[in-house]
Amino acid sequence: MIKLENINKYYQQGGNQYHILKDINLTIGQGEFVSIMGQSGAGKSTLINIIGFLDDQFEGSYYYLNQPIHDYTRRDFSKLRNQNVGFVFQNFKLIKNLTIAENIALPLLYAGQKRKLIKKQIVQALTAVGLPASEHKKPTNLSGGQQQRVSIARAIITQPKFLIADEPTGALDSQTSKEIMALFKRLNQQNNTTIIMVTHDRKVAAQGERLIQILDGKIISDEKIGVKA
Amino acid sequence: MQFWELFKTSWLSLRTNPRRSLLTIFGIVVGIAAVITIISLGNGVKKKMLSELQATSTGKQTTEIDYYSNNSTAAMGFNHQDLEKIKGKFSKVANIKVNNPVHRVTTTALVGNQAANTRITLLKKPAADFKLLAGRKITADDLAVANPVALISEKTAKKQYGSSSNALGTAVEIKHISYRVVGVYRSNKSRYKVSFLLPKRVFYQQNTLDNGNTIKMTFNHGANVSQESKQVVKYLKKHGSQHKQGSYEYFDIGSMLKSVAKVIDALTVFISAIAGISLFIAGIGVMNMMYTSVAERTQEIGIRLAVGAQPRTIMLQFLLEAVMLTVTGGLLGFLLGVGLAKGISLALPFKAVVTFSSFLLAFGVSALVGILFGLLPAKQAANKNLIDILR
Ligand SMILES: Nc1ncnc2c1ncn2[C@@H]1O[C@H](COP(=O)(O)OP(=O)(O)OP(=O)(O)O)[C@@H](O)[C@H]1O
Ligand SMILES: [Mg+2]
Repeated sequence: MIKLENINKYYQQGGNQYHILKDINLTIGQGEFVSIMGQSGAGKSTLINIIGFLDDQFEGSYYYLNQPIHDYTRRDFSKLRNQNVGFVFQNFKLIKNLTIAENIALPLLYAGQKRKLIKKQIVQALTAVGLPASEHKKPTNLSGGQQQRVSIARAIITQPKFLIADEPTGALDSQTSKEIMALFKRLNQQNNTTIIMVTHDRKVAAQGERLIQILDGKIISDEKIGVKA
Repeated sequence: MQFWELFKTSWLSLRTNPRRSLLTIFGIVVGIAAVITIISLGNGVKKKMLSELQATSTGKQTTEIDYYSNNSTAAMGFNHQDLEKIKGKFSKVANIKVNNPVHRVTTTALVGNQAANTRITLLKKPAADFKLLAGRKITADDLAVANPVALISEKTAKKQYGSSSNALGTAVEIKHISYRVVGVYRSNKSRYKVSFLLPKRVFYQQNTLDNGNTIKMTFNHGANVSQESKQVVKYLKKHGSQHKQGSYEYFDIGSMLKSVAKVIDALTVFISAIAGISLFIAGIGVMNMMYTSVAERTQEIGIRLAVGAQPRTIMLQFLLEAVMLTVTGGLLGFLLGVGLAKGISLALPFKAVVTFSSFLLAFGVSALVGILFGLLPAKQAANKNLIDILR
């Protein structure tokens, strides 16, 4: 499904050029649950931002479902993001002055749907992440774990092919982390949703079935770590 | 995103900070209100001008000429011959008529066998706003068939006949017409403080309708009514039946209104210039607010982009916010302007006229300000780097 070939990424800063990703080659198939680990600054976020179509400034080839994404325009990237991928971030990234329901509705609205016709989908998504009947609350009235559930609900509402999660449990306690990981596993197993997750936590990483380690912009190891139930 | 949903998104954002929104549009409200006020007054004076050049229902125009007598007891200024002369002399005058606005006259009346100077009120419609002491009122039928009947005041009845009931059925002769007294009334209203009430049509029955102090001329289409009227006045001053006892005057309301209109036109230019400056400054305010808003909502923009908003959609969202803001200001300004114009015109001899095009002007100008000053901030919002925001 995802195929990266010789991906290089540079950042320009104050006249200096930093080489962040170095010749990344990576293939990820439909339904995989991939954990990515590595030191701070290794380039993990940079990599999954490219995978998740958030970053269109890179060198090399990216084939998604055999399409040459590296040739796409900024417009095309918006569409790809909207229709194929869901995002979960460490700090949830919810819009504070919108209600939970309005936050979850965003991807569908940008897909061209009407507010009136998506109420049922919102209820379903909230139920799926274990937060029924909280449509009308504001994000600030929820705990961190609950907010992360909302952001997962937003990520899955368009029924995307894959999820990108950048340290999804980084701001949560271990009990809540466990619950969130259980949710990810269920999505992966029940819906066959591909999950690509960055984490610093070994226990969290161990929930995946494949572990990729990155150091200084290079993949230093890529191994199967568990058997799919 | 569908346009309507985008519209709602913008509206919801504006509502989260109503105070800032209201402060920002204040300048627009003032600017638009000033323009609408002066334009409505200008329209008012122009409409008044047209109606004073008196387009009648058939599209023909009419003017009036008044006669002012030098001594109060003299005869009326126009008679039948005058009218015939004007008709013969001025081909553009299509019709000419004496106005009888006079409803109260003083004339000699023969009550019993005594002739006396008597004050009379002439009725055009059946009147009921007085107290009837005896007999009946003058009815619509009396007026319609020109029935020679009269009402007598209580005071006159007592003086002439001793009592109200004695007066009933008696006859009074005024200007060679004999009226039968059918009722006695009492009233404090000044228009009834006379001796008799008579049907107007009966009183003016014999050609006397051609006598009066005001004539109304209807002109053929395309005539320069003001010039023609002046010619008629000039003619009357030499040949009018009463030109030695008084003067014939034509008050050219049209030209007076024309000069008022000129003043208002000049004012319109002046006020529009000031309003333009006000709108420009308000526009800068809108721009400032939008830049602030874009900066404050960087995270929101990033999130929207991340979940699949097109940069163009983000731009439209912020542009719509700016336009909704200024259009709200424009509409409030329109309402305020209409109110002001109506208020001011209470003190003027004409009414303010609000047209649909004034509304369109308020709407269009305010929308334009929103687009002009909202575009740059909106573009900035759309061109933000997603990766930088999400870091
Ligand atoms: N927008 C940017 N401009 C300049 N340099 C950047 C930018 N984004 C990332 N970098 C640099 O790229 C390197 C990799 O960053 P990245 O965020 O991918 O690290 P990471 O592996 O996710 O680290 P962490 O575990 O701390 O999140 C860092 O040295 C960072 O300073
Ligand atoms: Mg990171």
